Amino acid sequence: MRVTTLQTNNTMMNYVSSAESRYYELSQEASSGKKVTKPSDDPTAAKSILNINSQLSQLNSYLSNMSTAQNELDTLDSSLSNLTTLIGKATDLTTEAANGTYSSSDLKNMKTQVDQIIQSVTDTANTNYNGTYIFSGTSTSTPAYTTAASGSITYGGDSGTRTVTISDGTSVVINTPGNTVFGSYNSVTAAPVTAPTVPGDVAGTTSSTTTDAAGNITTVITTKVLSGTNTITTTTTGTGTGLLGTLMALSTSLGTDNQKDVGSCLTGLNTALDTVSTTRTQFAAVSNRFSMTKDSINSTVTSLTGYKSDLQNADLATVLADLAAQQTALQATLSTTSSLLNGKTLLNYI
Amino acid sequence: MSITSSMNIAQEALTVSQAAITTVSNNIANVDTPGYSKLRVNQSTVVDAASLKGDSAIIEANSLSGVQLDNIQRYSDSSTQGYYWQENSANSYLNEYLTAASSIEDLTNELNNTGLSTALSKFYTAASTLNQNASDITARQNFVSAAQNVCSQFNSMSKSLSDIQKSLVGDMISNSSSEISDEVESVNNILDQLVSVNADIIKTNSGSVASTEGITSSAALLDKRDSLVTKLTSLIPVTTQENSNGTMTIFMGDYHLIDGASLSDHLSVANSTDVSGNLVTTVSLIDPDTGATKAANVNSEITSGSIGAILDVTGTDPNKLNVSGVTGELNTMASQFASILNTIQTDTSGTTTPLTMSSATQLDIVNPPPNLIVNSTAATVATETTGITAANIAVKSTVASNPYLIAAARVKTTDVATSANAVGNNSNSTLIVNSQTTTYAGLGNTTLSGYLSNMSANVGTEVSTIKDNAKTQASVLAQVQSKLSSSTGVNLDEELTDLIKYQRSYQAAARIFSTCNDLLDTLMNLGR
Repeated sequence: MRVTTLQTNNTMMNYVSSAESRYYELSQEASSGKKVTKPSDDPTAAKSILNINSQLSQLNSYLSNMSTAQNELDTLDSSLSNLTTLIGKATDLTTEAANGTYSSSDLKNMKTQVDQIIQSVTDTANTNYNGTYIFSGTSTSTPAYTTAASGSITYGGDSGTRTVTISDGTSVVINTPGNTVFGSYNSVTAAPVTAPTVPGDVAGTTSSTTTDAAGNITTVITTKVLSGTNTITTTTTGTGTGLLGTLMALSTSLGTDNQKDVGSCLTGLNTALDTVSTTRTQFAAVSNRFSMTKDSINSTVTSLTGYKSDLQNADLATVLADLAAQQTALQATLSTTSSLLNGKTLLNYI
Repeated sequence: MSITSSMNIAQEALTVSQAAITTVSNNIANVDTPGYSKLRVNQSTVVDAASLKGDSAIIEANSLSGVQLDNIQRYSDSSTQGYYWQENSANSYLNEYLTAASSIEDLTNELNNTGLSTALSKFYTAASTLNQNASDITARQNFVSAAQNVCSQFNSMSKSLSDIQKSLVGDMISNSSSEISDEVESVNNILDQLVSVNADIIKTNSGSVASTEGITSSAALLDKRDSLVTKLTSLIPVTTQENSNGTMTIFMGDYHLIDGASLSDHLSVANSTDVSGNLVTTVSLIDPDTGATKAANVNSEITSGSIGAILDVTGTDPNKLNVSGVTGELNTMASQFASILNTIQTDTSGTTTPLTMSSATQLDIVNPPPNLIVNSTAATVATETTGITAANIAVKSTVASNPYLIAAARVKTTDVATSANAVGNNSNSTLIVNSQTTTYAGLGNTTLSGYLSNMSANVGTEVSTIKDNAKTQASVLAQVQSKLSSSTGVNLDEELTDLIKYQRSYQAAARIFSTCNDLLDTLMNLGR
């Protein structure tokens, strides 16, 4: 083939520029440490990397969800543990009071202690974690219980549940509405049965209190008047449920020396303790589930990260070896080019 | 047979050698000129036919009359030249396409942690945080700004795509200073130059003038003609036909652009919109003098060259990577993103109702939630979710200024009246979080991020194919060019050899003179 001068020049230029561009690509790969920086570098790998990126971001948000939720669960558990202690104290007092050897003033003293326990239980029910009343259902800005002047302890929350997403489409409930654990107490004073008396026209009052097995307290206050035989009966009915109902019944019974009813409160306290234990177990299971899910997510994250790095990161050993080889090739091309372009023509011999 | 006839022969030899040396020097001078075709001297023995006897092998001495210059031949290889032009069009098409496609790829490159997919991830992280703390104002503010970030990513990608389109073909208002209008102008300019070169070729009547000046200038015209055609082929695909008088007729598809020395058509380019509102760029043929349209749409003929690439990358062919295709995918994603969030935010068709907050501690049980993502160009609230595209997607301004308007709560419709306190209810924000992993029919049964990955990877695949094709094409072109250069270019060694050869023959011819001179001296001395 006839070789022309321009042809030689062009061909050498092509060789040099392709060797240089390959060298440039490799040095880019070596310095960035990545072999896929643009989708066109390897479309298939790019797609996998993008999918992995979005999966990793999801998994990380699940992890962060769980670690936040775990803190709330820890608060919940310590509240319930506190509650267990309080119920224990109340049970001890009840057992003591029921054995019949205590005087009326001892029982009054015990009532004071029970009233303090009630206060502590209410405080526990109003535990606030990070601005959230954890026992108020979804009414997280509302305290779970308020105590009224009438003695009613009313649940202000709702029965809603809050959930946390821990994996694709899986949500776990992380709260228990307070009324299922703490119960409530509602005191209603009915209107007097007969017409009210003139002030000062009172001969004496008698009152009697009864509590039933459900913890309902009925206080009947009978007022006799001086002016006749008119008897005015005012009935206050306290309807209680759960722990608070039992504790209120206990308090009332102790206040009225009603030892028989004190004894019947033990059943209510045991039921309440069972409820608390069940609830604690239930959330301990959730915590376990979190830690298992965390482990599994962490191992998925590790393997995905490894896969991503396989796809995206350059194998430095190979790249550097290639780079060195390419450098040699480039030098060879340049030296060939230089010898061809600077080299001998007939001019050197004539 | 006389001594003077030898001197005549020597004189002819000197003329031929001189012409040959001129040709060689022209070749050497143009050794690096692109598109230069080597010239060579064709010479032959002059035989006086009249003095030939019957047996042509026996020639009388007096019938010899020396050497003559036949012509100066220009090396050419028209088939390789035609092939070169065709490959040049393809090469220039791929290079232009690759440049435009790479800029599209840079925009949709989701691997660099700054793009839409990162914004989307951050948005879902913010949604997840909101879901943890449904009534928290900070979480709500973060959610709003993450949503705004997603919207502005859509906006800026869409803007950049239309900027690419604009720099290539202009917009509806004007296409001046766009790449295609510049290139069309170049085409017309080259066509004009070719016509005048054709006219000059006819004047010099190439190939028949036996003077070296005449022939080299004619050869220079042919070189100029060929290099103009080379320039033309890098813009549009043309086929050529060389006429007997040395002029060239140029076709684009079935259309004559140049017919001999007369210009037939100029190119013209204009923008319009099609039924679906896409910008359509049309190249037409017009009469160069009157400006009258001769062919309304010749886009289908321009399948190659850089103008062909511009038409493809700004076109709407679903099988090719183009701006409108990517914009369309982006718009689909933007409108789906909006509709997903707005549905979650406002849907009351089931047995549950989403609720916003009226204050930091209360749910709004009276007012239904507003839309979250809207068309920022909508004229009225009623049409705010109509025609959402990547260009106009935005977070509704009332929600942006009051993040309590995000409906994180969703309660039973029958419980709405009693739910004012349920600010910790996160059922609706859970739906938002779950939408991250939900596949949607409107997105081709993929998730939002999956759709984006597909889009990015598809662009990558196209670009990678174009890149490979461009690489192959460049090496094909280099080979053809090498072949062309091999058959028509200048080899310095060859020229130097010729130079010495002709120098020697010049010296020898000069020696004949001195010999004849001696002979004549001898003759003169005879007469004394």
